[in-house]
Amino acid sequence: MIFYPLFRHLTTLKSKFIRLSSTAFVPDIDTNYYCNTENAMEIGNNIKLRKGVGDIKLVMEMYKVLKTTPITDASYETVRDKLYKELSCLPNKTHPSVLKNLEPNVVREINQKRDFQEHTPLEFSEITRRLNLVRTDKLGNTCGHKSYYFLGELAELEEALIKYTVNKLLQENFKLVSVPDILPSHVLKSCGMTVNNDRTQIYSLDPVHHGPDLYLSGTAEMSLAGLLMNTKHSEKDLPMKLAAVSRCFRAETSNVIEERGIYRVHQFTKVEMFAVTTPSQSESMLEYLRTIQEELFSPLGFSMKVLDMPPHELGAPAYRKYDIEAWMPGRKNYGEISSCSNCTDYQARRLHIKFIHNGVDDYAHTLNGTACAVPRMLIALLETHQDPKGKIYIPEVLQPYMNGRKYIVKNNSVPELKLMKIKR
Amino acid sequence: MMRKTLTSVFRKAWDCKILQTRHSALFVSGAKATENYVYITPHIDFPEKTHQKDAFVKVLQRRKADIDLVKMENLWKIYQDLNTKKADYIKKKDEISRQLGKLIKKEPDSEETKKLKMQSDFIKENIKKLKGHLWSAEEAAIVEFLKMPNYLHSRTPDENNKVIYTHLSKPQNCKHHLEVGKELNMIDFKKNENYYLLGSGAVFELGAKFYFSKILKDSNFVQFSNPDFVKSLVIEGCGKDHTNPDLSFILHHNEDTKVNVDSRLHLTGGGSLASFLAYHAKNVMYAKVFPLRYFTMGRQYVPATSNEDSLFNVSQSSVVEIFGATKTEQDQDNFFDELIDILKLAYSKLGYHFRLSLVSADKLAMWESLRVSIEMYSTSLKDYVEVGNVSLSGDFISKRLMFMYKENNENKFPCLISGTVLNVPKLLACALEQDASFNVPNFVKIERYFRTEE
Repeated sequence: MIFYPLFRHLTTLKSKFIRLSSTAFVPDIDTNYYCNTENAMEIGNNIKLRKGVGDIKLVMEMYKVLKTTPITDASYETVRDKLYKELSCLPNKTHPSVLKNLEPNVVREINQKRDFQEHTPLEFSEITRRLNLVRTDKLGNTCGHKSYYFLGELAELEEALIKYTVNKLLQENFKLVSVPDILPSHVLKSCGMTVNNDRTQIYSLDPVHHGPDLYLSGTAEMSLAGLLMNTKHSEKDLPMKLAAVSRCFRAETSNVIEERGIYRVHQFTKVEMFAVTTPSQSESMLEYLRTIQEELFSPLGFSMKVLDMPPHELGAPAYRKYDIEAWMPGRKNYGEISSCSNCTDYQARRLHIKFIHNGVDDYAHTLNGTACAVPRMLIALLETHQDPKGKIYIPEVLQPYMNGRKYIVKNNSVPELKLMKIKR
Repeated sequence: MMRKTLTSVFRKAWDCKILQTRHSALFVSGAKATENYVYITPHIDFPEKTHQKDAFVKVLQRRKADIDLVKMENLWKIYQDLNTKKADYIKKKDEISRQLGKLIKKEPDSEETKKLKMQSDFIKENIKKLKGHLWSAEEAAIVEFLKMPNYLHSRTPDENNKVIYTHLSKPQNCKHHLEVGKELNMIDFKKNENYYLLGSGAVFELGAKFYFSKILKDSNFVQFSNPDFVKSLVIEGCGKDHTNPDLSFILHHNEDTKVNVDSRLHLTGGGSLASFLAYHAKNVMYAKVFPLRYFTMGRQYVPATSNEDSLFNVSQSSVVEIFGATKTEQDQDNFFDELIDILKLAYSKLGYHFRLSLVSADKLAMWESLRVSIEMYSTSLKDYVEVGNVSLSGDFISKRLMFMYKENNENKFPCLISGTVLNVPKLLACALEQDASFNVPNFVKIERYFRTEE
């Protein structure tokens, strides 16, 4: 039966095609590294240092099974898919200089903490209540848990921050991109998010009404990754620097006292930076993104520290991550206002982002960083620049975006509300 | 006798299919009040409408509205009859109680006392029986009432839109914005639910919003930054069917609680009328604070209505949305005229052809009484496209969502004025289809970000 093998071959081809088109994405994970028994120890240690997610022993065993399974065998694909599912959970490698760190390493501190002398600085919620700049109360029944409205000059300050940030990024030759906030699941998964329908960090649209696969973007990083998916760049076009202003949706709730008020909210506006580089450029790009953040935040006057984060604080895709924490004098605590991560080829392999190097395709490196996450930026600004007489100083760099004004004062243009009592 | 009238009322109710299940997020009947938290009870002014019945019938005709007024009247009558019945019972019960009160001290064991006691028990029983029926009659009537459209403003035309202002003349070429946008590497369009604006496309989006933001601030509008979600009752309050997924995005219910179709979260975006009403619903203000003049820059999410790829059909838009409230209709009309002047000037400065039209009665949404549409010409569609609008709705929505003010110790409902004065993707599409080749227009440039600069 000379046709038999040919026939067999065709069926595998066909089923492979169906598989590829239904799951759409097979991450191209570096099996030469991850499935090499010589690296098992190193990978195992890395997992232990990180969040402990991933099972390298299981990966090695599955790889052995796969190697002994003939490609024509019916079980081959199931075995391969299981292996890739396990492989996908493994974290990125860790930058050697932070491997031994248990605590964040303070790289530098910027701006002194402001001395309030005999005054006790107020919290954001109290400042904005007194000046009538935010409404957060009694909104659960009309727009859901933890909703907020910025009113008057605080909404203007939000606009000013976006303008200030975008202006700087455009001067740095970032390419501005406007992104969709509703994304299909495979984009999210490729960014290293776990997606399932219930109790997740991610909001989704009702699957019955709007189709089973639509999620609300948690950060523009996801949307930008979706834009770059399956792209190939010529080496001379790298590094590529992108910036996006978008709404971010986060479903997770928190009852921690440190995260009260608008510190952790379900929706907010953020300016995000994203870079695609060659492998040799990514380390210096991370330093560059960090410098941009420092240059953006320093003139805003609040005290902050730049942290080189230890392995257990890194998300699975990150190779190295810097966080900036601002001092929030009202809360008497540091709060994370930004982070930037080098994801090396972790996302690029899942998203198939490549570049051509000497005529050969190679995976690019991706990086991302916060340029301005509005709510926490406002907390740091208002708590730092509050005046005991009840107004808020606007940092000089933001004044041109606020029509030259120096202070935010009590908002009398939005009347206070009185909730009606219901009679039945 | 009493029993006989009661059965006749029920028969009527049955005829009107009073028992069929209907949904309202705004109105929760007494029967369901134990399982659903009642946040708002809408103000129902059906009797006022029936006083000017002829005028209202005319409104329905002009709107070409599919509303059965006779059915509505019948449902209302049943509800009123039952209400009267209940009032009668209560009156009678009180009367008996009074007699009984007097009698019970003097002759506690007399026949008369026993008789009165029996009568009292009988009436109490009847009131109890009536309650369930009254609730379903009330629900049927009010759910039907909530489908009734708003009245029409005297300036709303019939049949055809009325052009009230034209600036420059329409482009003559035949360009499609997606082709131009792709050529200039400004748009990466995957589908109506998923598109990217690149480089100058994204600069255009931000700059256009900032341009309108500045104009509105200079015209004494107060800026808001709004949340993106609203609950079902706000959607229905704004005159949309909250159960229809073609009208608003409904979020997946990922709580452990049971799904309730009348209490979902909807993704509307902060740049929406709903978001402003989520702020004002069920609140009372002092009369002296009016007029309210608010605006916001934000997203607007609306499920795509067409499968044809186009920036005119996208489900996510950056917009500038205004919201105003006045005490009287006269104030509302003056505000409307002022806004038209502001928008005329704002759009004229862009340098594109546009026109302002009053939208005809049959094309208005049920909550609108008047709408002015800012239209630009699309050379790919060979037709005008609405890139912005302003609507009047009188006290229609404030009554549904109990947004009130207090004047002379009386609660009154303000008149609302609202609109998406700028829809960025639609403006961008039209800008790309102009005769001249596209250059980043001055009004969106970064230098304009500084508010002090003109």
